[in-house]
Amino acid sequence: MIAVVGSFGLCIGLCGALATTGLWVIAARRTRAAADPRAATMIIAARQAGWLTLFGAALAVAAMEIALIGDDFSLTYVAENSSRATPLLFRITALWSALDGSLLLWLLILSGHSAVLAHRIASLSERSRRPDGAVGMVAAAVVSAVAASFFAVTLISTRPFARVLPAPDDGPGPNPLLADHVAMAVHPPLLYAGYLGLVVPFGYALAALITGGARQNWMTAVRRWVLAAWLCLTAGIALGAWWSYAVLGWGGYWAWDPVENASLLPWLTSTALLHAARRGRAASGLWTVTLAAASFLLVVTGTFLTRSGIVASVHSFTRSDLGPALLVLLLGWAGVTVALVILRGDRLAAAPAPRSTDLLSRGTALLLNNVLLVGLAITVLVGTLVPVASQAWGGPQLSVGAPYYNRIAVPVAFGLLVLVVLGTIGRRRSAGPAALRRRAALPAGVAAVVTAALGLSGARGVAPVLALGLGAAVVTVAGRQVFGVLRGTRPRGWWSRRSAVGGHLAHAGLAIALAGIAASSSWAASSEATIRPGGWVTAGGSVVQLHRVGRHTSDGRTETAAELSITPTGGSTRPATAALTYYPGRSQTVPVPAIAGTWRGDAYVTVLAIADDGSTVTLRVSDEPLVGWLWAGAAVMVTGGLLAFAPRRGVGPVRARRRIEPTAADAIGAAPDGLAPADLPTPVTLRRTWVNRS
Amino acid sequence: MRRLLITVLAVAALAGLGTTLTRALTDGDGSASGADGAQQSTGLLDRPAPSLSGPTVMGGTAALSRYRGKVVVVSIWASWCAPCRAELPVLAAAHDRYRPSQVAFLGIATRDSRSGARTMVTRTGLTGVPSILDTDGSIAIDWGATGVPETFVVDRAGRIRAHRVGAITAHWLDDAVRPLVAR
Amino acid sequence: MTHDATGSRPDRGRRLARILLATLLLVAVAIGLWNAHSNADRSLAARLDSVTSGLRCPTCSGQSVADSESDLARRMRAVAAEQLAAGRTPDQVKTYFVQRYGRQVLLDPPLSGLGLVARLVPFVLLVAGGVIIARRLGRRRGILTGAVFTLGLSAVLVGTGVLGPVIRQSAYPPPTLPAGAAASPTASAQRTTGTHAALEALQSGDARTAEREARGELSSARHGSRRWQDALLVLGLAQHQLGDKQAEGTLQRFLNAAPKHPAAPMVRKLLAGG
Repeated sequence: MIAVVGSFGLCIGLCGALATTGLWVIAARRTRAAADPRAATMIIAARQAGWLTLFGAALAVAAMEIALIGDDFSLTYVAENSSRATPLLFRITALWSALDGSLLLWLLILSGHSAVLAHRIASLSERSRRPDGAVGMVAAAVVSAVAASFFAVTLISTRPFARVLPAPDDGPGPNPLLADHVAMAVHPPLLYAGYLGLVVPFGYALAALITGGARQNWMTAVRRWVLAAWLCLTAGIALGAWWSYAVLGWGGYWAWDPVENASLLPWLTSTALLHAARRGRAASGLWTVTLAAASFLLVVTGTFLTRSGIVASVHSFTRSDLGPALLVLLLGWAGVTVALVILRGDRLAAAPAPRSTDLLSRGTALLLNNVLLVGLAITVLVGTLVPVASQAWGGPQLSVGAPYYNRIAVPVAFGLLVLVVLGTIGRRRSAGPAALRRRAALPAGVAAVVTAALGLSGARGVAPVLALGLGAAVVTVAGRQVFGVLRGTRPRGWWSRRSAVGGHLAHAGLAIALAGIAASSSWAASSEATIRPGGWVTAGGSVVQLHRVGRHTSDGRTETAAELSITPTGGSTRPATAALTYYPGRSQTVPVPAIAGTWRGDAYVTVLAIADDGSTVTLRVSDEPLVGWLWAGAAVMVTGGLLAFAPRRGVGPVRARRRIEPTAADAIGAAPDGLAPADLPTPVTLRRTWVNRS
Repeated sequence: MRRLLITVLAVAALAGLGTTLTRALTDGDGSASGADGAQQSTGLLDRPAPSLSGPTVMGGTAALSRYRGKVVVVSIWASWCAPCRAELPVLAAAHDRYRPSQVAFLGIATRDSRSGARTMVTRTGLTGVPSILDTDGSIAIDWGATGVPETFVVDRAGRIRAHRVGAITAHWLDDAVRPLVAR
Repeated sequence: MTHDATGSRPDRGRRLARILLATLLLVAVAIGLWNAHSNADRSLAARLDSVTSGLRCPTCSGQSVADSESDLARRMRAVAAEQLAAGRTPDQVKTYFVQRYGRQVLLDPPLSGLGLVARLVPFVLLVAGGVIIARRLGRRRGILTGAVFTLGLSAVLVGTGVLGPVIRQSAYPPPTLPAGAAASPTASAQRTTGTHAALEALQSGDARTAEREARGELSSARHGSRRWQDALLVLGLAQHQLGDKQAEGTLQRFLNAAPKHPAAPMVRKLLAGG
């Protein structure tokens, strides 16, 4: 019964998505043919069809969840991925702990985006029916077409609601690594939200190409979608890194694993997109279209690599039949995009040359930012695909790992930090080299002081010292800008100017995170030793003492725990437990690390082996300096992004048709969303821009 | 003109990507590496065998150099390894089958205690084959082994000519040893 | 900003102070960076980490030997640590593992085939980036910025090793742990010095280390002893491999000192062949 409902839901979803696509296409054509009144019915129907698609996906997800929560082992998926002993939370998250179920979550979020976009386009069209509105409709059509293709792939290649008869009594439960920590409830949905948030800019990009939308500022409308997706991606990636470091005991937070790279690639291009799509007509040119399209195509590539099993990764699902279907989907959409770019690319406005001729202006910094980010993305993509290609063409087996990627990523990271400083202190119209020197004095001074202090006090290695110095400079300029904004605000408070603050906060967060990465990579120390109770191990400045070894068995697992006292560098001693947990049902041993940290760094302990009689324990202790700064920096980045998400001051929904008053704050604030006085659009273009802002 | 160039480039890139990924999907199972990236072939194939000597499980000493001029079957095993328990009788039987003047057998008991290894040897009848004790596993690494059981066949000149990961069968052994004996 | 020749005293004083401060900071930064560079961790642990993070654990799904917690990775770390402690260079240790586990145990792509493509991609992108920058920023400044960008980052990449170093699967027999190493790891650490180390270095293609070790042995061994003869032989072979002009003289000295040495015919053939 449940299986039938679920499959039915998927079919509804597919039909709904196809219907939505068709209806939007018809609506767009009728709208372009000069305000055809029948377009209104089409739009209403399209909106309903969008909700229908979402309903179908929700039905499928609900069916699977009911089966999981209710321990209905007649479904193959539940029989393989759940058990009676699994706690409720992890039975719910078992939906996305394996391949078939995670596709259902993917479809839910994708159809959610499609439905929300359909709703917004329909709402806007109700208020004003202009031929220009066709861009939004075509975009909605593209998004629902993407949804339809994913529904089709799911229905054709996988059978999430397959049944097993007779139904077994119990199952082995989800992978123990995925049923251990509450992060499992947050990380995959957040990551999927980030990935699929990029489908809307993709839709608009293709729509702009199809309709030749050179006249509209469609990118301004879409920018908030990009920002939302970027936020979810940043949070998702950071959470994943933290999870692998703190919970899964994989020894590090980033391994340049192919699946991790797959999540990094769209993040890089969407960051580039955020910086390229800032304002004006340049924002809707061919370059931003390419970036927007590339971001989503990279998402699909990443999904393909993760689910097809052709890359060797600790994250990948087991190999399945989904590979060929996803490949067809990827090549299909990539082909469509490339064809559109080639055939219609010249219709889009070419980005005008930057107005400032000064080398050290923000325009130059943005250009270099895009070059660096896209260059890194291409390199990471090549590095990920080269082993696959070498194996596919029968060549020698290659491995591409951390040494290769670090060589490129580290200079790019330094370059980005420098660009943040240059871009923030540079103005669009430079007031002259003297003013520039004045603005540069403080950050340069701070960087110099920090670098010199660290170097002279005996810190090791040029790279981390430079990273900390540059990071301090970035935090300084960001702080100065934020301070300037806050100071210039009317007594109503900074909350109304929060969008101006957001970008700088994100930059500061990035600098803090990069400093944490630099320090924990270069200054880490680790040691392994076999000790008896009472003995201790040191690494760097951390000391770990072993007290007892205990073993206890509970609901399907045997845990052998080492009770320790950990003293991180410069911190106080505290008790902790590191363990090796054995799951006989899956014949898998999972190490559980013990971490004790201060702001100065973590002491990270894992148990490598325990003697059979419990007399000795082999411990691995790592001293990871400043690794906490990575999490703090990521949190600051996300906060900054959330602040930047706020609507621009004075601009709300369509009804607020006020002119923006230039204030002193605008003159000072070099905010990503702020407008310099000379750049204010005229009232006519202002109205047009607002209408298209969805 | 420029558009034609870009079109050609784009089509070529897409075609290349498509073909590569299709091939990766279709023949990923049969290649030298499994889907989990585990390696299946040693780097020492057709190269001189590393030196091998040391105290044996049963209390004597053994060395690969003593068998120069013979074909040598070197088998890495451990008492805690279930497939090894099935494989060692095969080795013992082959030891009896081949003439000692032509084919010699040598074992490496890796990551094992002397008592555990000794028990295994007596239980599987491998007493005729000297097994060198490799407590810390460094000999296994010296031979490029990734796990147990692994078997190497060394020819008369001292080069490794055959290698297998996993338990061997008498059939595989015969196929590997016979051409080297005949040479 | 223009000044007249006679700027007011406080102005000049402030400017002087600023220049002084800037110079002081620059000097401090330079000294600090130099200090940091010379403090760079060259301890055994750091070298071990640099070696193991460049090696891939053969049975794990792509994890490095430094990160992986599997038994094989632990053993590989132990072997690498032992070899580094015995005096081998990180490159030699990597060569050791490449000889046994194949080229794919290195986490760096090789310098041939698709690996070369992977290594060259960043340079191609840098050139493309430079061209894009040059075109977008207009003629003069654009070309300058583009050139600085491309050449500067290329220098950084080359400096950090995008185009090297090359680890070859050597044609020589693999360097082996001396007999009895399994029984006593410390004993092996003692034995991989001197002539043994020189010979192994020679076999793995590292002629410089071989030369250095051989010279050390020559100075410490008694003149005319067997050890001295061996060291002279290895020195000559190392110099020959390096293309050093002294090689012929050294090898001739060896032949004069030890005409009945088992390696003498080989050396004679070498000298005759030139």
